Amino acid sequence: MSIFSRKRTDRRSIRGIERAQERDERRRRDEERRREAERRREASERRREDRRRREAAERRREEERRREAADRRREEERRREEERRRRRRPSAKPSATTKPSATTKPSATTKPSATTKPSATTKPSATTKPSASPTPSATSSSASASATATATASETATASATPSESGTPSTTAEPSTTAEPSATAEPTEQPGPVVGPEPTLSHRFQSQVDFSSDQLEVEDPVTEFLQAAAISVEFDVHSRDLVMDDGAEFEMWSFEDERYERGFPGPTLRVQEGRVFHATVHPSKGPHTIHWHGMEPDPRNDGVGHTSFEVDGQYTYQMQPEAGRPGDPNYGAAGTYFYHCHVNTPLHVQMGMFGPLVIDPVVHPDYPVSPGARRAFVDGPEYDIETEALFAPYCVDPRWHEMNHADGLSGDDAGLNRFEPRHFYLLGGELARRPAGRERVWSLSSLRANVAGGTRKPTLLRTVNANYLPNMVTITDATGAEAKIAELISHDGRPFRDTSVPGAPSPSCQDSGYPLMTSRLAYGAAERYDMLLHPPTPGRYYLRVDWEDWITGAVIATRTIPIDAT
Amino acid sequence: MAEQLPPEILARGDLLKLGAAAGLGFAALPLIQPSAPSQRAARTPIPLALAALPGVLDVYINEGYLKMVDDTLVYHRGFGSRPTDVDDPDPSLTMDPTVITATGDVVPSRTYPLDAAVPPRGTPEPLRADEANPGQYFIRRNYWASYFPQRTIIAELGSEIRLRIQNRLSKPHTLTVFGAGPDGGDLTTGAIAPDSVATLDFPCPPPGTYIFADPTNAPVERVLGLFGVLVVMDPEHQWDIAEDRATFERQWLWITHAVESRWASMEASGQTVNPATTRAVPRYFTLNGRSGFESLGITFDDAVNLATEEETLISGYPRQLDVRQFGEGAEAGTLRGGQLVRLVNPGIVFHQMHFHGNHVWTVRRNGVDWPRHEGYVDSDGHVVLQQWEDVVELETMDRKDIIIPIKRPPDAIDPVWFARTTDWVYPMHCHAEPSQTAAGGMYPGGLVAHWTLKGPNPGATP
Repeated sequence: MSIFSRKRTDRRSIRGIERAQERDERRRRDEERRREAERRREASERRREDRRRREAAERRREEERRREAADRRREEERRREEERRRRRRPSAKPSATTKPSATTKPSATTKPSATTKPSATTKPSATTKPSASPTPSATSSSASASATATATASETATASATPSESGTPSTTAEPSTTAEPSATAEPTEQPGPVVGPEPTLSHRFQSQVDFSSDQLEVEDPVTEFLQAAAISVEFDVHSRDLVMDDGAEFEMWSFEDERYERGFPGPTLRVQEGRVFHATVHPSKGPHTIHWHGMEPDPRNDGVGHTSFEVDGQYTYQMQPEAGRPGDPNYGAAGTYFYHCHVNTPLHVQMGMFGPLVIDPVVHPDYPVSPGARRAFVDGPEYDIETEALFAPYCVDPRWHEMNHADGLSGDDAGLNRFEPRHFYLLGGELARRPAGRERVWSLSSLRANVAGGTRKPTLLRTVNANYLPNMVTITDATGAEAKIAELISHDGRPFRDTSVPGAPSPSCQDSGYPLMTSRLAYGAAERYDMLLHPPTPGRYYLRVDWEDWITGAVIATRTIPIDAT
Repeated sequence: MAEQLPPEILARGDLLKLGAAAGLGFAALPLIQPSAPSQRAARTPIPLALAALPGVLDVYINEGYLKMVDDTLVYHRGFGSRPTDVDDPDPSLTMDPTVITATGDVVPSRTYPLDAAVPPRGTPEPLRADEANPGQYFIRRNYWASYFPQRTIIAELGSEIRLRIQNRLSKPHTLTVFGAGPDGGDLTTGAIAPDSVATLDFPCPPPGTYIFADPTNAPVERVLGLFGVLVVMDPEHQWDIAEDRATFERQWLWITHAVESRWASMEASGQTVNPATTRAVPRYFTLNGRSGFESLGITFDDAVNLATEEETLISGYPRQLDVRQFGEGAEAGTLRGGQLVRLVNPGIVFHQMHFHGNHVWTVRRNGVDWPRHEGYVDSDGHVVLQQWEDVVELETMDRKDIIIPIKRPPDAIDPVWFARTTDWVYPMHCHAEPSQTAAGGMYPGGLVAHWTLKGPNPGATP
């Protein structure tokens, strides 16, 4: 797998420069390949050694345990075979049925025990899967659908009613989740009516080393029920020595696309609620995954090796951020997130394999949006698109950046329990102006904020904690005195609401009369907050971020950037 | 992996027994090095077990070796249920869960309420399918018992808690219950001299979660394992956090800890660790005493797997719920609520508990209920308001109560949800990622767990 973006057609620079660039490119690529090959060799040597060690240990084990291990291998084989079958399953097939009810099959409740025709309800999967040609599987899938329909008529009938329309008001202007399936189901929905057991934690391991070094790797896992996507992105994995804003240079690994080639952090993603979203990852330098931190799809799309699979070749993650409903604290995904690799996570995330993800709300007729503004969530406050910004505290332990993909997984003490950062960074900047181009580190040097009470909407500041240590954010005025100008409106992709009256709408804290104003925010690894800035007067303010020791809480580093309020 | 076994073991001459019992092969033996006899050798005779007294819970301050997830033995001290010595192959370093009833009975029990039905493999079965919401279920209200892990005392409101603590070690130790005093102050035995016994009697504090630990040379003795958790329940509201507070289907107690094996070795060899000069570098990270694949219940030891599922690995059937009403004050019938998780951190590392699959709803921190309205940001920069989170901060000595809804993962597409035939398993892990390691690597070998959204249930009547 190439580590570079596949489609590179629009070179518009002068030919000479272009040729030189390409020459460099080739050299880099060759160099990359050499390193890659070397790493593979090392990895395979390590694997061989591990295998030898494991085999030696194996011999000492009792007969029963050997048998159980064999069972496990068979199980794994079966699952791989399962994956292969999924892949072989014909993809396009205009199964006229667009409603979830058809595909559905809450066979769930069709417990074999109770039903009198077990072969009809429980087995279709077995018969369906092997069939490679489209038509038989189509018939058998519809057969299975009808079979289950008889068993669970009530279920299928109500399937379109989806998770509680319950006490919630107003439908949304955008296609809401409930409407979605019919809108998107037609084009490429896969038949795959019955899915085999998820490759989850169904088997057992002899030791932690076995577990760590023997995760399920799948070459090209199949995306189930692939829909037409509103947004699709393709991510490659890159590795590059990058220069940070303090001049230090480290080997970084991250995700890239054509716009942000070999940059760090990974490309910024914006997705709207209610829309199906696809992201295809093309790992290189060993298996990787993408976990969409805070998004909550099914396990196959959650991007965690030990509850689904690690990806060798490519995989298309699919999810549909839940649409918000005004006043309802139970619905809505709009907010700030990030995505990251979930393989050997301590190392891979520290190496830079993460990027920001913003979910924008659906637009509700009761909550129209002014020109130049957006809402933070469906019934949330409007903010100024022009000055919207994101910052992510991050820090580097240079020792970790000398490591390899699988360090520590074979039981060697890689020292990954010792995170001793020496360099401290604030990544990010204004979202509308993230510089594109190659090998860029997106660093924050200053922020702008709109003065309260003007014609412009307030500035929204989003923060993602990409750090392993606790952080304290403090906002001060020009004199250094703390300035209570930040209003926290969301946390981890969910708005702060007044939920005190059961059955009644839950307005945002601002709308219920007690905005969460602060000059300080304490948070730690992987948390996100959204805050509006309300500087009362023009002038300079400061955003100070302290990094704290994860045991003693002592401040070990500080960075400060100016906020210019106009 | 070069964890050095301390010298006393050799002096005891019980190597084979210890090694075999700990599942450690002969390979570990060469690591053990002889050294000068320690002061412990002179400490004989070893005190005997206490004669049981009705209504009194006996606690023994013991020492011994615990096997870590990579089979390394690490020296520990702990509050045990029976007297054991350092060379005991099966040392009692954690208390068996015990219930102290309002009537004053001390009942060894892993489950509470005592007379409630026990959920099979820890999973509460639903009452029946929820016809209006395919794939979802009505769950039973006030029905299932909850399992509790080692190190737990469950006390019923109205009881008198009577502890008798024997210090079997060579240095003085203390048992302090933090925040359980009349004004939220601490209750303590004071220093208990070696080989002596102290008592601590106190009226049961308000419903909630409390840490008890040895504050001596803090945090060293706690890090060595001298800690436990007191859960107080109102016997009139056995499925509520407290009267008029959130109702839950069942509850889980998650106790996090970080093991500093270098400190352990130093203390084992008779030194006293100065935490200011010997900086802590934890090497193992546990949840309810287990790490990595043991904490995920995927070992070849069925008993460990079962205990892990019952105590730690949250599971339940998907249900419809409204976060505005977890059954507080609502009438009987089925419950539209989630499960309660009490997060407790007697360890020394600042944890960031991240749940995949569902956001969790945080309701209480350190015994203080968070409001549902008129929230605010406190002077430390923390929001005080009930809220959704996918990462829950858990500072050292913090206790947080969260409700995990166990609902349909909101961003899964409909066809995938409706075609579901199996359990969906989602990780929970600490996002302060160094805690995901064991012995410097072996990801995911640290503070991990998962929760299971149970698949379509054959047992529930439609």
